[in-house]
Amino acid sequence: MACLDESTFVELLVGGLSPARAAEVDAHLDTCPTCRRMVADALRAQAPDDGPPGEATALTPPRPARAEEPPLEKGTAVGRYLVLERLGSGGMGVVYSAYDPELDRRVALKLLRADALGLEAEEGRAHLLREAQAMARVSHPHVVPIYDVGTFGQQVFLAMELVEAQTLRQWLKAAPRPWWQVLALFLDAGRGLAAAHAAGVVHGDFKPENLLVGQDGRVRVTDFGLARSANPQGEETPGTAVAGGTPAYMAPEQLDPDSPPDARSDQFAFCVALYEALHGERPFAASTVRELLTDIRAGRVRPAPRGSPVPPWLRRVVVRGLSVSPMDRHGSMDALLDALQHDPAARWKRGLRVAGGAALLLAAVGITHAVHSRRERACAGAEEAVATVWGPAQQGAIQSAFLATGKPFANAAWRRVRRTLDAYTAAWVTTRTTACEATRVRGEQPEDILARRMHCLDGRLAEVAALTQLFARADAGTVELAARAAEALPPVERCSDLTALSAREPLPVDAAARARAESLRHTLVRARALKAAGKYAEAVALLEPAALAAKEAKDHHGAADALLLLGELREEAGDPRKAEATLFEAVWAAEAGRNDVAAARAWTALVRTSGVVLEQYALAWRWKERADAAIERLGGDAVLRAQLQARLGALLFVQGRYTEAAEQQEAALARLEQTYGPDSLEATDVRLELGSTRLAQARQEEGLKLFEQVLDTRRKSLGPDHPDVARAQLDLAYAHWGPRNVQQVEELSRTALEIFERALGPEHPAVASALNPLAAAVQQLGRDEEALRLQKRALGIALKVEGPDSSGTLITVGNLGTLLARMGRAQEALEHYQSTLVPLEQRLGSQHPHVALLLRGTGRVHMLTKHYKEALPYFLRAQAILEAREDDPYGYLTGTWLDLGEAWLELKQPRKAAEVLERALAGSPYSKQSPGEKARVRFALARALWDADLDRARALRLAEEARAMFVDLGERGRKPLADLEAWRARLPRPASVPAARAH
Amino acid sequence: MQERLSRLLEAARAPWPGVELEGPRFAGHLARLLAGDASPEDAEKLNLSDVYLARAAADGLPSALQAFEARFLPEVDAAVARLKLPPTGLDEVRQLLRQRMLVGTADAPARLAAYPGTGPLSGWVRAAALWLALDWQRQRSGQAHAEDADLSVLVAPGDDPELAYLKTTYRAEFNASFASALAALEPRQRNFLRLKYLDGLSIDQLGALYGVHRSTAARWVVGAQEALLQETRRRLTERLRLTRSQLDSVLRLISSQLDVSLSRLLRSRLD
Repeated sequence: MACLDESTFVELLVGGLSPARAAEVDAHLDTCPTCRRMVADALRAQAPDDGPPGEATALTPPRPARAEEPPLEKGTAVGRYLVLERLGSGGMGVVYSAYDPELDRRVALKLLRADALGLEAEEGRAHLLREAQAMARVSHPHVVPIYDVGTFGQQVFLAMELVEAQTLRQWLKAAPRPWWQVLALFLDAGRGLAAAHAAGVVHGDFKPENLLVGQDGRVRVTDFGLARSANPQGEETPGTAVAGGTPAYMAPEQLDPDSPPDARSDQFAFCVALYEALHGERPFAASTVRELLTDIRAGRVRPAPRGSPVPPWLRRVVVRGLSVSPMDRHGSMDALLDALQHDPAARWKRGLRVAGGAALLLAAVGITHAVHSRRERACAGAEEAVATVWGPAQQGAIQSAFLATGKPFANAAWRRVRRTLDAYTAAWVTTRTTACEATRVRGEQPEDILARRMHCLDGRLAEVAALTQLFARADAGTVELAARAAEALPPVERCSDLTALSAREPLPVDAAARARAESLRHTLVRARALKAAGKYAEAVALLEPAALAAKEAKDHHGAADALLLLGELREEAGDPRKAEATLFEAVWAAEAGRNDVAAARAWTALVRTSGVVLEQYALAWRWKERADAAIERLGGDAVLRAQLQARLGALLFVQGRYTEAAEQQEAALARLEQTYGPDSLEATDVRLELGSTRLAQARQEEGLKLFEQVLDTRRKSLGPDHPDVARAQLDLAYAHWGPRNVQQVEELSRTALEIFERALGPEHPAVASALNPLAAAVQQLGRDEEALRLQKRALGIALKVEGPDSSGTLITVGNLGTLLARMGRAQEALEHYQSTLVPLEQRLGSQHPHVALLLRGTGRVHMLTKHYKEALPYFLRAQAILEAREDDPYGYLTGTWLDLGEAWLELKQPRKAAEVLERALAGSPYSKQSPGEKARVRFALARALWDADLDRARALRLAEEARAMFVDLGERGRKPLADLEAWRARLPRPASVPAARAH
Repeated sequence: MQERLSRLLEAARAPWPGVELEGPRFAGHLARLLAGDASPEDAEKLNLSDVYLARAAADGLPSALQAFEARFLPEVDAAVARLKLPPTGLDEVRQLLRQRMLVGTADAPARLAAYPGTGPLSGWVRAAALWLALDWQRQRSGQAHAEDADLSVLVAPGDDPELAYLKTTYRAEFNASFASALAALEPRQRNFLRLKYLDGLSIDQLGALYGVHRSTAARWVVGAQEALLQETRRRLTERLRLTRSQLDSVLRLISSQLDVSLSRLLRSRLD
């Protein structure tokens, strides 16, 4: 029937329809919401009767009486564990943090609700217990370990590692993740899953919520909550698959209650999750289980989103894992992981051994040329090219070479290198394929741009080849620097940057020039790799003739690159003067050959060489201007700018300009974190420098935090035995020195010392750097002789390595003086100080905070020997230096005022003492006083005011304040408190004693 | 017969003093309404005074028009106003109604002439007016009734993703079972549920529409609900292969933190 007409409508409303007609109308209203709504509207308008629409009816299921148990109270004993706090709840149960008194550690306690599976209590508990025990059998770095399993009332509990982590879903949301990063993460998770399969455990509910990404970036699979034993258990296996798992990630066979999940259904779930993480959407568009099944059965995977960067081979591998029949998927998780790592191109190269040096390098560079001369497969060769330099054979060779060095940090270095190079080559493949397709497939890009890009990309791959060859014959030094070397590969993205590319040399046209350019390029690549691996002398030997040849051939552009690298190498090799000269040559060649990148880099390098190393500050500032200009000409490359800022920060730091240093370092850090990621070693280096600046700014807490962060990152990425870890430990030790956490200082510097000795040998300058804080801490702990021995050993190394004039040596001498002074050997201390003071002034400038420290130290030795008059000029100079500053380096300002005040007091000049101590009492806006300093200032001022008879009432008030403060200091306040009481006892009694004071 | 007719005429004319329709014209009109074989008793069942006025007004007698306006139009206005038409719509509908009811055209006589007299004239005019108003509304709005989104919007944003997923999945299953159970009902049962839960009609209004007592209407509604619920449970159990206790826990899972009221389910499933 058609829609209601006017007369039917009116008849319906006035009740005039025959029964037959009424049935027709009903049938129509059933299918036509519009007519029905008109009738309803009319009925309502006719007779208003507004009952509440849609009140609750029998269909509304009764509200559950809180399905969840009330949360456990703190301190409840679950097994041997004590509940601390509720961390959250999931579909399967509630998670608490808990304390394990037996092993004195915190654990995560998961209480599983048996009824969450929809099972009867007993059945469910037995099932869960079985699952949990199976799960506890798996031990793998990428699986959250289960420590213990038990029952708690009707519930089953799991005690497992407490991981500070986010779920994969949160991790994906937190930042855009390039596909290779996602892939690397899933490879790790997949290894965890494979390990579980090897132990006979199936996960059964693999999904993004069950992947935890720790703060260290490590992924762990958790919640084998519904996993069943892979060995069929017959009728014991409960048949409620649907109620258990998460359908979107479940393999189709899991929906059949009679077929328990197996390793291949985990593979399916893994592929759904990986697909989703790569593409940002699930592989099947269905919204209900039924539709989902239909889609899976039909193999109806969504098309890749437009413009998806995920390479087709990867998609193919994943989609195969999504096959409806388990037989059509990959044979096992291991097979899948294998396919995920080694794209098809790798297969035909498998078995190829690493051949000797240059031939392979040339092959790597040549292959892309060869490939893009064959038009039909022009854009398909990227993966093949990578496989020749970073295939399974090379990887195996590198791993064994690393491990063969026997260095404690070799394994960590290998892992880091593998991760970095995996990511790098993956990016390379994508960039190359995209660049190629832009011209060959889509025709959007002219041939000459493609040629430039390919040229640039070939260069990048050659760098990888050079590095992997070096790694394959790594020695201890190479392994130490390996992680950094891999990270220092020039970014692939720059090959897409047209401005940067046009700044490069015009492609040589004649054959001879091309051959020369190619040969120079190979040399550069190899020298860069050698430099990255710490083989400076070898690199210099290789590069010197090449640089000369380029100069002679008037190839200014190439010569600039060669000289720049040569300059950098000479500085690394410890020859800053020659380095400076070479860098100037590089600058000249760069200007002549319009090599803006080399110019920017050379000027930036000079800021460090002339300024930080050779301490020629004024010059360094001029180089900084030049570097700025060169970077500007390049269009403002973010990385170059960040590197310049980091150098500038270091320059400002050595000049003692800490506020400005911090600004530059913060800016550099932000840029580097953005480019390389917060965990990159490059960012970590700057973070360390910023931390030192914070200490100098007396912002201990911030410094401490930065150092701890650095230490954590380095431990995780380089392994605990890497010298760079020890370096960070030393900085942390200095941070602890400020608040006098002497025990920590000793422990940190001693372990750092051991790492250095093991990794670098006993004569290395790094060893000296660890000896300095160690000696200071040991002395504070009352072991004077040992401290002296350590400090002298440090001095010996400094003299040998840096020579007698370096500020490092001078500061070590100063430290020795301080040590002697603390030991009460004043004369020796004084000698040490005096031998240091003048040369240090010459090196650092007379206003440098280190000079002030040394001056104060000298003054204090004089005070010790009661030569107050001699002490005075040192304190006055120190005061002048420190007061002229708009900060308080290392927080010594108040101490210096106090020293000066006490010297005046001893010299019976209380008015002068009062003057400086009033200043100390008022404090400086740049300085923060410790409670001890505050108390001492009050006591000293009290004495000065009393002795000068300026305001004795105030003196007494101040003394009383000081007394209360000393009391609050506890043990540390005891001695000054006694002094204060003694002083007060000596005061003449007032002539008339007020009654109130009598008691 | 003549006498009877004149008595009828008197009675019909009584409520409308001053409306002077000629006797023969009224008699002729009655004859047309009642068709061939009707008896005078049949005529007495009609609302004669309403028929009288309708005929007189359709004939354009000024006094009849006045009486019609005064007696019927305010109530019609009130009913139309409940539809919440904009002022221009209200005016337009009033104009249209007058025109259709009172003014004939060449091929269609004034509508009032067609008033069958079986129910009160007020209800008949009101129904016609509502038709006009709703028709007006329908043409203007282009039927852009915003439909409620599906149930997934009911997942609380802070829900644990795992649980949320279980819920939506079970809900999808539940919805599918619900939809098929609904399809198995009688069309009239479905209309009852819709009119009650989607359109918010009261039991009295439903009774009025189907011409039954409110208690009958209420029985019908409850019967339809129970049939729907039982069928849904049966189908869901079958679909998920659940035991009875499992079914209850799934239903709990779906309904916890959700307000699964029938109106919402119907709204998402029926339209």
